[in-house]
Amino acid sequence: MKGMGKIFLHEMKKIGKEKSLLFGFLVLPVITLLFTVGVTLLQPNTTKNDEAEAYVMYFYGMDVETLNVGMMDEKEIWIVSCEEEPEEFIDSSDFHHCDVLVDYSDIFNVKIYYYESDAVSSYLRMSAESFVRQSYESIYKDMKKNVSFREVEMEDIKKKDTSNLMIAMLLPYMLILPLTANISNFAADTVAGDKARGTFYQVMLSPVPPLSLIMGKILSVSVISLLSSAVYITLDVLGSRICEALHIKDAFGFSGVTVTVPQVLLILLYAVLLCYLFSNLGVLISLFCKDQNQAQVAQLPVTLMCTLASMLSMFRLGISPSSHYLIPVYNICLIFQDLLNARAKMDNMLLVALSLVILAAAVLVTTLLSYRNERVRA
Amino acid sequence: MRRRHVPHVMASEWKKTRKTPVQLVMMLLVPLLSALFLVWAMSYVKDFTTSYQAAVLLETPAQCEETEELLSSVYPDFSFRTGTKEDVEKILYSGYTDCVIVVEEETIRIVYDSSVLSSSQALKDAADCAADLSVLLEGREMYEELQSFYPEKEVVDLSTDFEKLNTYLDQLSGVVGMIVFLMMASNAMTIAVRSITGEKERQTFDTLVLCPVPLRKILLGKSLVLLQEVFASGIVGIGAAIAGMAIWNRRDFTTVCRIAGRDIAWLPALLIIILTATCLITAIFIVIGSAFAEAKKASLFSSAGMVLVSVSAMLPTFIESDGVRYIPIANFTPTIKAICRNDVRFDTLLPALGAAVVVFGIAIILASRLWERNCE
Amino acid sequence: MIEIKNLKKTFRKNKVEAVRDVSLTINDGEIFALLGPNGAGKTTTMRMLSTLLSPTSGTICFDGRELDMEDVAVRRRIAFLTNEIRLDGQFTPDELAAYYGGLYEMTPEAIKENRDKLFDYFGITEFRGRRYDTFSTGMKQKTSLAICLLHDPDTIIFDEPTNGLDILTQHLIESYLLKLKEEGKCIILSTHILDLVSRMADRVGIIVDGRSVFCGTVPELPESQGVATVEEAFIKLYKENHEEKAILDKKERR
Repeated sequence: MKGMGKIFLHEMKKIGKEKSLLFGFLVLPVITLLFTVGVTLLQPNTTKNDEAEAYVMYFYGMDVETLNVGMMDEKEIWIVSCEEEPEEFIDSSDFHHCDVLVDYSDIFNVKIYYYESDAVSSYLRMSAESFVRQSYESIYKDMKKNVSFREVEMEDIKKKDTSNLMIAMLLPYMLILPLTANISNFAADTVAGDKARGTFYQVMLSPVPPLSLIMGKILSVSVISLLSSAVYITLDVLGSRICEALHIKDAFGFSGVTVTVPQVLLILLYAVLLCYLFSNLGVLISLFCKDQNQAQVAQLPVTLMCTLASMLSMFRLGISPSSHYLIPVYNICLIFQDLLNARAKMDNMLLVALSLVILAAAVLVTTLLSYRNERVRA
Repeated sequence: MRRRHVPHVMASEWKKTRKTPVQLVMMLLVPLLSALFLVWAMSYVKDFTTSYQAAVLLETPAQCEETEELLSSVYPDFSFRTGTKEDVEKILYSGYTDCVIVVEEETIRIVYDSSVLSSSQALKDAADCAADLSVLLEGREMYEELQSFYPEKEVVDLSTDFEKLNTYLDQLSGVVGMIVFLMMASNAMTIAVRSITGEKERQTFDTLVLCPVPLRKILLGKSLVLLQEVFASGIVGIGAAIAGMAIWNRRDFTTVCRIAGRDIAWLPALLIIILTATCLITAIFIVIGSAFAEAKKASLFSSAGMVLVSVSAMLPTFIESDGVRYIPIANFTPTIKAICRNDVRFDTLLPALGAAVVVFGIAIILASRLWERNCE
Repeated sequence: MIEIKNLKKTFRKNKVEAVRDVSLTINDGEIFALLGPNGAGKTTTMRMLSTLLSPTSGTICFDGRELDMEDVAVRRRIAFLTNEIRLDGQFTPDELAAYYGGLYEMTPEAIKENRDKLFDYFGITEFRGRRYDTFSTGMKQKTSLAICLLHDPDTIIFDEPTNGLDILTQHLIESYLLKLKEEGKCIILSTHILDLVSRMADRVGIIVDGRSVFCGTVPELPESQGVATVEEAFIKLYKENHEEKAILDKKERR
């Protein structure tokens, strides 16, 4: 790997000398963050169901004691008996879109009124249905005095209490978007830009082996992009901590997040792998482009696919089967989420690392073969 | 004759685009594919978020057969197999099962992980299924007796058509809006960098300066072409999103058609919001494009423009104020929702368009000064 | 010594036959001028000589050893400078020398020695701390030349080295090339300036439509064509071979 270090240092120095590049990689994430935070602060504290003081399950035709049965979105859920006729009550201002009314007036035909469009009402409807079932079931079981039914027990096997659900959902997106944008910019500049400026050939003519030249470029792209993302995430975390210390609403999203050192290190490890892969792809595409503009356009599908993969991971609700850990980029998002939710499994982590390393090696070999291509060298 | 300069520049710029097939593909194919993909993904996610998989572990294969015969029609998401408590964790964390019911000698145990959303979702049905199992395991007759003991159940959904669509629309228009505007912005960026910043880099700027036409007019010609191209990519993106909805979410699409179809106002409203966004996006990128002499610097600063566009598109998610309707780009989601409510209000759309056109005009003046100064 | 035999290059992308059949011999300690009209294939030939491109067929031998595109040892011995090759504008000549010297695995002492010598000769010393992109065209060309020659190559390939430069800089570069020749280096020049060829070159090769049509000493060129000047000989050779090619093409098409 002769000359790789020199090329790497040279590329880093090039950025250091270019104030606008420095601005782009380090100051821009800060501005982006402040802008996002500013917008977040505009968010009103009220929710959609703010007119309702609590969520209520009304029961008509059945005497129930007014009872608090739990909490949801910082509001209490109550069971309340309803005196008014159901048809009239659902049109009154007392019945909110988040409530549910169970009509027991005909014990052979129970009617449940609710709003499917409202998540709370839908949830309460399901509870009401279960309630109806359970009430009939317990009457039935009481009737069968000489039969013993098996007890139903619930067991929550949650391994660890993590409050990182939200950030686990957002982090892949927060990390991948600036990363791909930066890499696309810098890879386009370092290869296609050099070609357009005529400085690439001077290095090609030197006795540096292609592997060193390519690796030097890739590493510099990776390091600077990683650095830029690190600045972004660090500031985000700091912002959250400051908000917490000052007891004000956290607009940065990291409030209440608890991560251990191994978690951070593992996330970093995967971020490095991901960064390397992106950078190599960026360099590979840029090799075939005449100038920076063309390279950026050509890299757009890759950037887009990565953004979409990270977006899709935001909708992941359960545990993914092993096969999902083989989908590039998406699998990194899954690992980030698993790590933050303290649910990462060693075999999945190895699978992701292995698949990324194989992919990275394949891309590197393709890059080296492409380097010999006359379209690159002409 | 002097008035013809701008169309002349425009014709030449269009020719340049036509001769760059990659640019054409990026301008039209990328927004098309990304919008289609997103809409498909959203409909997939919509089905996905409401579904789960649960498993019931019984002691003997005979029990499995019997319970499956009776319960599989009531609980289609449950699978019935033999197994013990020891198998639970492996099954639960395989990624294919969200909740497990284990039938033991004296108890029926529902095992779930409250930190996994889909696991909690399965819980409601799991509780019912476990209750049914407790009866079924005492005899088939008893189970059938219990079934006939349950009352008839009627569920009345009070939501209006629009309310049913609301959550889906919120998500869909938020995501589609963001991606289409981002595509428009990235197209604007590449075209602006190529046709405005690139003049200096390709050393063709001096030839332009030597022409007896004010630079302002040349920039106006270039900007108008940029505007048309960005508008085209926006139309393609939104069109693809509508087509995608028609293909993958027929039910909601029919509802939207039923509501919006009553009035043709949806078409001008859509065109106005895209045009408004186009004006603003073009304005941002011509200023950035003309402020730099090097493509790499312009591209880098364009990232700031991209952030501005994507955050503006996300504004309605954060702010519920009516004021958002007056902000270009941010007015996308509220307008889409207004279309689906058949309540399009041009009194908010037109001021936004007006503001965007004014910004575009100011941008032309500012950009031509920057271009001239920058290339001295 | 460089021996080029039946060199051919067809670009795969657009199937253009840039070089059809070029055979030349270039000796050590001489200045060899490569002449030809625009689009004749001079630059492609030079790119193949400098290991940037690989030939479709034919061979290039450096001192009897066949050239390979990844031949690092050959790259250490050659320098290639064209108008298309530039240096990073953010750096000073000193920094550029340190970087490129490092890539050629030179010791810091060797870099310093060669750099000082070249910078002094080309008058770069007083600008050594200034950014490359602030230089005038001539100063940029001189810096590029100095950086190119830093590793003390045996073979120097120049594509139109004095193009667009003032008389003083042209003179400086020409003198340096003569100095290099005296040191026994092999210099290959591609140029359109026939006066430069007459003044400096020992031998000359002419390429027309991708084919080498002449290779010999400068005085031999007009003699072989039965004309008085190099210019007349060049035009005559071009006309004959261009017409010949047109007839050949016609025949091929039939």
